[in-house]
Formats: sequence, structure tokens, C-alpha cells
Amino acid sequence: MIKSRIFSAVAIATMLAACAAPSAAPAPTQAPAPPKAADPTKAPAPTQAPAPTAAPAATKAPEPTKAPVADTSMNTVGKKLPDDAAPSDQQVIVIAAVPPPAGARMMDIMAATYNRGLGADLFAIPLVRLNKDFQVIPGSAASWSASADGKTWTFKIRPDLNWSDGTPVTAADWVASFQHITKKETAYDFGWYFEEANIKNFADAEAGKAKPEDIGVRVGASPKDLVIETTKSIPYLPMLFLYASPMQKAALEKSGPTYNSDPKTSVSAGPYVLQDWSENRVVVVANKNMPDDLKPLLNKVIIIAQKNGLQAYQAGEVDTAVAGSAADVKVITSDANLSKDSTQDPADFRVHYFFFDMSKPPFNNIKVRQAFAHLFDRDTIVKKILPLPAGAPMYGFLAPGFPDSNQEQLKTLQSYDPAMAKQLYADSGVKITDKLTLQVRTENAVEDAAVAMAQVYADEIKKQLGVEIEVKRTPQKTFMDALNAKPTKMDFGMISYGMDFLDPSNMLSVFKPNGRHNWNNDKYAALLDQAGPETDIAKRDQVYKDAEKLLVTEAPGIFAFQQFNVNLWRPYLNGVTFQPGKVNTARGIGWPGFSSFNLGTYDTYVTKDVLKTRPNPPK
Amino acid sequence: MQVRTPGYLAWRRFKRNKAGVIGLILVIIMMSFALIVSVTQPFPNTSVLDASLLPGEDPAHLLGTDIAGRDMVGLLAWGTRTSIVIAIAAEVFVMAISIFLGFVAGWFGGVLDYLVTRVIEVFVAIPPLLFQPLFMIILGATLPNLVLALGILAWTEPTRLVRAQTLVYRDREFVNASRGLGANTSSIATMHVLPNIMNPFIVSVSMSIPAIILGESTLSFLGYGLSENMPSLGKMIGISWQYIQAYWHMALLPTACLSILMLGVSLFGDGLRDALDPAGG
Amino acid sequence: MFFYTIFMLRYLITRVVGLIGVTLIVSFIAFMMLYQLPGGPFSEEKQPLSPVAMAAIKAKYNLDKPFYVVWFSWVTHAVQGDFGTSYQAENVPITKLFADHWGVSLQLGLLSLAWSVPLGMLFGVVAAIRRNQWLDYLLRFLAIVGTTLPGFALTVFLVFIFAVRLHWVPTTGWKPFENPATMVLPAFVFGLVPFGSLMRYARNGMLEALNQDYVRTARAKGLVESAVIGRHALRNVLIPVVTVLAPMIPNALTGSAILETMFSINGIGRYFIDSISSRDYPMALATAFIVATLWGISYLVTDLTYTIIDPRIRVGGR
Repeated sequence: MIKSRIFSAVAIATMLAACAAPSAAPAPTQAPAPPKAADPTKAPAPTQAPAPTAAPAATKAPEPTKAPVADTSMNTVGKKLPDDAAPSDQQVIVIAAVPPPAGARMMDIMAATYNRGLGADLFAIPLVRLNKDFQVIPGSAASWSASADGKTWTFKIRPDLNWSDGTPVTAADWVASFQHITKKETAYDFGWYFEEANIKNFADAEAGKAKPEDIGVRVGASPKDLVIETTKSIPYLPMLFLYASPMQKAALEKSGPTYNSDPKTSVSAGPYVLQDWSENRVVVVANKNMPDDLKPLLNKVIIIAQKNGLQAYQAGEVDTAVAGSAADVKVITSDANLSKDSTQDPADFRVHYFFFDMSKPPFNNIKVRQAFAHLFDRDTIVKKILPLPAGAPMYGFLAPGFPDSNQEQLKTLQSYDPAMAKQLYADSGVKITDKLTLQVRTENAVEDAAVAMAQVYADEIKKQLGVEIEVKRTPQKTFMDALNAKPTKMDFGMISYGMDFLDPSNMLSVFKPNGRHNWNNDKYAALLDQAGPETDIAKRDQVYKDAEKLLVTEAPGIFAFQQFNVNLWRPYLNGVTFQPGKVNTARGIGWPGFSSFNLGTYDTYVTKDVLKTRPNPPK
Repeated sequence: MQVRTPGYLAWRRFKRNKAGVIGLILVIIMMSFALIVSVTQPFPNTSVLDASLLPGEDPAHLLGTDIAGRDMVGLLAWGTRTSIVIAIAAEVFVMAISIFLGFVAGWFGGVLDYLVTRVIEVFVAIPPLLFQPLFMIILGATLPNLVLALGILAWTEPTRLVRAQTLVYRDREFVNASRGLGANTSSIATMHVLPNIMNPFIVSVSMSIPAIILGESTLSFLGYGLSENMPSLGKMIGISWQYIQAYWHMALLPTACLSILMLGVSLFGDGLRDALDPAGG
Repeated sequence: MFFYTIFMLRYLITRVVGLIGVTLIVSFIAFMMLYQLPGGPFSEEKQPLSPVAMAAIKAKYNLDKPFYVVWFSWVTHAVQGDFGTSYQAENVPITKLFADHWGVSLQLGLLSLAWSVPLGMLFGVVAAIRRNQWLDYLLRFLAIVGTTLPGFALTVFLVFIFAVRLHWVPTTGWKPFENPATMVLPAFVFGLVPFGSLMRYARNGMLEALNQDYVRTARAKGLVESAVIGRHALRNVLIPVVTVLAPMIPNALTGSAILETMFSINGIGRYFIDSISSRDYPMALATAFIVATLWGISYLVTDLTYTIIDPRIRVGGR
């Protein structure tokens, strides 16, 4: 369990929230978050980690001083615009987003997680949110506290939070949403995530052994109190509720889980309300019913589905886009203006790696795996095929910036060393005579680069060890089906993982026994179990570092490269999140994208510079 | 003295058709390019230090390299070879089925015609973009499977054509006459009907070669094509189109190869049609 | 005439019954294949789903039953116009999704035919008349380029030149009324294949006609060239043209999956591709069903047209 990092972050963050919140909402707003942040929290510290850390605080600091002076520049929902902001009518941006699958109309993460529609997750705020440095700060919940045994949590929903139809946002909305995802008929495939919170009866309800009404999510003493009962003490529970973004009980019951894909049935308690919806173009406008500190600075956001974000950006159709393929990088780095507009964003700290079926020969032999591990010349290959800002070589599984990342110390464990590889292969006593197939999962922008790396790697293995390898790209579903088959049908593959939340436990559990891969190493499992609940931060960090070292040494995975998003931002966009953070130094809205989970969604605005290049706001 | 066989006459007629000759030359050039390079050189190896070279950047790689550092000349030759193999294999499959089924249906009519027509209707009604990916996912991305996936949906058009044309000629006077003279079906088919329907058939086949290769590249574009060790022009285009801005050669060269090949095949098909036209040009 | 009408009626009924049979068979094949696919409408991104979660998903999507059982219940619903709901949009009937998106695909398809059919036929006839002259060569080259260049490759070049560099048209979108420029590239690219094929068929048909005895006779009788072409030759052009045109119509009606994806056009074509990769079986089946029906109808119409253009071809068998 997680605790440590979040604790420390929280401690600082708590104080910051106190100053950040009111500063954003200058005058009479009741600034709800801060007072509660300080009080009832008893249990483990993690709780109400309000706002950001040092960096954002510094950037926000100047604002209050200006606040009383200028009050002419308000946006359409009465939110005060920063001094350098363009006039209100210019507070419109167009975002290029990756097209969702055809037909996708689920707009809320508790309706569907993997195939949400375009412009999803803007119509409610989760219990907690993340700041630029991935720290937990209040969202819909102003504060939270745990009982003495740590098994009963009470989240206090902000009293000033209402749906756009005027009804208050209440605990009943979360109760309805959690019951929805546990219903058998919903067949929710992200249940495993919320299972990590160990909510009472949650897994049983999913299994049909308990009623969804009996899960440990209920309305407390007041309608604004959300009570969560767990079977274990989970000190990091609030962090998991980043994805607890509710659907409105009434709308869910009346119009079903797609209610947010139609302006007629949509109702919002998030920064934006839905104005126009189609599968490839969504228009949202600022939500005037929100408390001032939760109002966005932008009046309107147009989100368009764009397969090739870079092109749309070059054609001047969008204000921001995500690039990142090997081809995009070449275009961006050879164009001075695009280079200036681009920033390298670690996003979900996604790491691509090779893996084996370790249940049978030849890869149940550690020496064979290690021999293979010493043949990937990542320094040359990654820099040549997917250079910065899109990719960087990886020597382990936790990328730089990710907690407990230990790249420097791990560097030698899987270093390129053909002589050692040959020696290890000879020592293993294994002779691979069959042709192997290396399947590469097709997934995203870096697909071609990953396949190219796999090919170079395959040629190198053939050259050094004489093992024939055929490289194959396999579509996502086929790939996962083969990998997850029992027993697995994939001998040798290449895949990636990106975090769900910023803690080593999340990334490292990919290799846990009965997880994604069949390494099934007891020592590794024991280390993860030991680190989880550890409250001594230094000790916890050390155990995770030991675990990662074991992982890299025994080579159930050969870590290849870290994938960055290359975000393009027009120079006329600004906001608190455009200042470099401690973990994520990229400008602008980072992971997890333009959604109510992300502070950038609220603080991004258009500066006066816009008039030079975009005299008329987009329609 | 030269013997004036129909073949010789056709060749003479063909030679007069400049476009057809150009087509033939283009096809020969592409085939020999594919053959010579793929026989003399192994499939190009990756070489990461040479990744993404533009044409002219390195004399060792005349047309540059792809992002894994493989020589473009080799890739194009091997790709052309695969594309030709796929096209020929699929066309042989299509021609065999369509001549047989089309003639049988058109000539005999009745239950046979009914059956063939219904089977055609079923196959025509199968959406290729649904069927072909499913076929490849289920059976695996191999060359024979790809040929089957493309061929199985390509025989209906030529078959309908053969059937329709057989219907036209079945009751023509000269056919009736030879029937009256006691000729059997197979000789009527080979002597009178098939030669007469050959021209539209050749046009149809020559036009379906590009369609086959397009089908292949479309599948590759969607990610259901051959595996990485089996190059094909369609696959190269399918993958490299996104490189147009960064590395023009990766996108343009395979497209150019495919276009030249297709242009050649089409012009040659046209010329062949003119040459074989018994009514004379 | 009376007997002819009775005959045609009987023929029509037979064909319609056949069409229904074909659609059933196609949907059966589609079901069989979809049930063979690896993976399903769920994500196992981080790790395998628990057996419980998997069971719930399989039960919900009927994946726990044999495919023919599900097929049968699907058919009984489908005949009542109920195609179920997409997995991506639980409570929205597929019929509504189609109603919402078909219009756009129709616009794209019809617009591309609107320019390619007349131009293709016209150029084909012109090429035949000007046979082996430079105009013929130019037009044939155009036709070949149109039919041989992959639409997606061409799209890439055109978008790069006209949208990214020149800014004449947008890179994506489809807004016929607000911004007609969005229609130019997709309609152009989508029309190229019909254009090229029609032109080649029209040219070949015309050449054949010009070589027919009766046309030669007409010429010999001293009829003016245009009259010869107009009265005698054009009819001969129509048969092969109808043959190529027929399959293009359902194609045009159901949109281009790839172009719709590349241009982010909100039509139904994309469903072909996406419903397979996202394992959205009801969507894939509905698409297959509707497309199969359209093809069937278009072929029926083609065959009827044949009998009208060329009475030598009799309907039905012997």
C-alpha cells in the first residue's frame, strides 16, 4: 500500500490548497476546501491532500494582488481572467483528440473505462483530483477522514456543489454510480481497479454473491456525506478515488449511462456543460453553476477527433494536439516553430518492454533471459529510432520522475554486452533450434518505432546467438487474448504499461505472480507485499528499489524505452499548469488529459498574444 | 515463309499498340527488378546506425533506408516480388473458378445457374472489410491465407461476367448452328463461347489485379496484413504513409513501384484485349 | 404481355426470397466468424480479468452460449427491426446510431458518384473515339491512376499538399453546409475508383461497339458519326457499364470505411473497421446485415436492368 509518497506530498499540499483555492477565487467565494482540509482528518495522514506544491503556489501567488485591481476581464461565467488574458470572446480553444471507437457514447469513467466517447469525463468532478505533480487534492469532496480502525471513510461533498439542473450533488450520486458498476448487467471491466480499495461487498456484488445495494458505499449522516466502508485499512484509499467521478443518480436512472452524449439529457457538475455532441466533434461550454474556484477560465472548448493531430495543428485547425510517432518527431524537430510549441510529457510514464513465457523452456532458464537481455543495444537503438522528445532508453521499469526510479543504479544489469550474452547463453546449456516469433502489440503512435526496434533486436539475436526470430505485429485484442490465455500462448512479445496512479506498487505489480506475466517469483511477491503497507517512507522506497532490481536482474522483462507524449501548444495558451512541475516538467494539461481530473482543464486560458495569430476565435 | 498462326497475328496486332507495348515493358522491368534483386541479395537486414537515411545520403543505400535501417532497394524489390506473387496466385484462383462456374451457370442454366447465382449473391453480399480482417485474425497472417482472403471475394465479378456473356452467345446463330451440327458442349465452349467472351474477361481480370493488390494494401493499412518478415508493397504503403512529411521516400517509393506495376499490368491488359479481339482493330 | 408480367412477377418473388435467404446466410457466417475471434468486448490491459468479471461479461454479451443459438435470437429480433445496442453505447439502439450517421455516408457516396459516373462514361466514350491518340492515352492514364493508387495513399498526399501546406481545405471533417470545402477531398478520392473503372469499361464497350458489323454498316450507309455513336454504339456501352456501376452503388451507400476514418467523417463506414477491432459484435452484425441487403437489392436491380437493355438476356434459367 502506498501511503508514503502521498503522505509527504499531502502534508505540503494541504497547506497549499489553503492558499491556492482562495487565490483562484478572489473575492467572496467561501473557499470551501481549506478549512476542512485542516480539521477532522484523523486517521492516516494521506487524506485530504489539497492542492499543489511549491511550484504552482509560486505561480498563483501574484494573482491575488491583481485581483482587486482589474475586474473588467471576466469570462462568460463570471470567472476572473488573468491580466495577460485575451478578452473573453477569445477564450475558446480547439483540441485534437484521438478518435474513440465508432459508436462510443459512454462519457463517464463509471459508465465505461476503456471505450469512452469523445470529450468524456468533463461533466462531474471525482472525489479527489491531481495537481501537476500528481498529488491528491480535493475534488468534489472538500475533505475526508477515516475512522480509528481506518476502515470507514467519510467524504464530505462540497456543500456548494450542484448539478447544472440545479439539484445538489449528493452522496447518493456516488452510491448510484458504485452500484451501477457492481451490477452484473453492467459487466464493468475496470472493476479490478476499485477492488484495490477493498470496499465492503464490492467484489461479492460483482460476483453476484451480494446485492449492489449492500456494498460499502452509502449516504452518511447528511446527504452530502459519502461513507465508504472497507474490509481492510487502506491508507491510500483517497488516491484511488481519482476515478470516482459520479454520474447523476436521476439522469442515470432516467436516461441510462449514455446520458452525457446528448445535450438534452446531459447534466453536469464538472467544469463544462455539453453544448453539442457528435461522435467526432464535441462542444462544451463553461459551467456557470460551479463554485467560482471550480469554474474554468475558458468559455468554450471544441474537441475534434483527429487521427493525425500534428497535421491538424500544422493546418492551423487546432490549438493543441498530441504527437509522438517517430515520423512526427522528425517533422517537429526539423521545424523551429513546431519545436518551440512542443513539450515532452511523461504522461503515464509508459515503458515498453520485451517479455517471455517463463513457464517452459527456453525462457524458464534465467541465463537465457539474461543472455537476451544483454543484446538490446538500447542506447543506440532508441536514440536512432525514437529519439527525444518522443522516447528515451529504459534500463528498468520505473521511468525517471516516477517514485523510486533507480535508472542509474540499474544501468549495468541489462546493458548491451554481446560477449556476456554469448557466455550466458553457453552457460545456460540451452540450445534454441526452433524459429521464435516475437509479437509486438500494435497500440499507439510509437507502434512503428517499436516494431523497428524489435526487428533490429531480432537481427542482433540472430547475429550473436544464431537464434532465428520472426517479428510480427499483432492487434491489441488478439495480442492480449494470446497473452492472457491459460497457459499463455505467447512465447516472446513486446508490450507496454503506463501507470494508473503514481506509485511503484502500481507499475511493479504488473510482474506480480498471476499478474500479466508468469514470472511467479515468490521473493518479488514478498517484497511487494512488504513495501505496500510500510509506513516508513525511506524503508518503503528501499524495498521497492530492491524489488525493481530483482526484476531487472532476473529479466522476466527486457526494458526498452520510455514513451513520451509530445504535446503541441500554441504559444498563446497559458495557465498554472503551463509552469514546469516537479515531476512533470511539460507545459500544459498533462496526464490524464483534458478531463475534470486535471487542473489544467480549469486553469488554461488564452493570452493576449492570440490576437497576432488568431484574430477571430474558432466557431 | 512465315506461318500465320492466330497467335502470331495477335502478336503483330499487339506490337502495333504502343500503350500495350509500354505496359508490357513496364511489367517486365518491374518483374526483372524484383527477380534480379531478390535472387542476388538476401532480404535486407536491419542496421540501426543507418536508420531513416534519405536517398542520396549514403552511396551504399541508393534509395535510402527505412526506420529500421533496411535498404530501400532491397525492400522494394522483395515487396514487389510478394505483391506479384499475391496477385498471380489470387488471379489464378479467381480465373479458374470464374471461367468454370460462369460458363456452367450460363450455358446449362436451370438448377446449376440458380445455385451458382445464389452462391455468388452470398459472396457478393459479404462485406470485404468485415470478412477479410476476420478471416486473417482467425486463420493467421500468412501468405496463403491472404491469397485466399482476397481471392474468395474476388471471383464473383468475373464469374458474373462470364455467365452474362455466355448467356449472350448461347443462343447466337453460329452457336446454334454448331450445336445443330452435333458439336459437344466442351468444344462449343472452347471453340465458340470462350473466345468470344475472352475480351471482356481479360479486361475484367486485368482490372482486378490492381483491385487485388489494393485489397492487400488496404488490409495491411488496417493492420491485418502479412507479418513483418514478409514484405509487400501494400504493406509498405500501409505502414509508411504517415511518414510522408518526415521521410518522403518511405511513402512515395513503394507507392511509385505499385503504381508502375499496376500501370504496366493495365496497359498490357488493354493491349492484349485489342490484340485478341477477333473483330480486328 | 400478360404472361410476361406474370413471369416477371414470379421472377421477382423468387429473387426477393433468395435475397432474404442470402442475408440470413451472410449473418450466419458473420456470427460464426465473430465467435471465433480472440478477445472480446472487454479490456484485460493490466492483467487477466477475474473469472467472476469474465463470467459477467460473457453472460451480458451472450458469449457464453453457442453462436447459432445467439444467431437465432438475433434473427428473430432483427426481423422486427431490433438490432440490439452497440457495446459502446448501451442504451442507444443500433438503429438510432445508423439513423444518425447514414446521412453523412450517403452524402459522401452520392457526391462522389455524381461527378465520377458522368465524367467516367463521357471520358470513356471520348477515349474510344479518339482511340490511340494522345487524348486517349491521357485519359487512360488518368483512369489507371484513379483505380490503382490506393485511396489512403492518395489521401495522404492530397491532405499534405492542400490542407497542411496550402490551407485550401481542412484536414478533416464533413460539414456540407457550414464549410463545403470539407467535402472536396473525400468526395474526390472516393469517386476516383468508380471514375477510373467506368471510364475503362465505357471505352472498351464503345470500342467493341464501333467494331460491330451493324455499326460498320451504319457507317457505310453514310450516317453521320455522331448519329452512329448515339443511336447504335452507346447501348452497347451500357451493359458493361451497368455491370461495374452496380457494385459501386451499395459501396457508395455504405460509405468508405477508410476515408471516413482518415477524414474523421461521422458516417457508418467506420463501423466496419471499428466494430471488429473493438469486438462490438452487434454493431458488426448490423453493418453486415444492412450491407448484405443493399448488395442483394442492387444486384437484383442490375439483373432487371440487363433484361431491359439487352432483351437477348432472358431472366431466370431455361
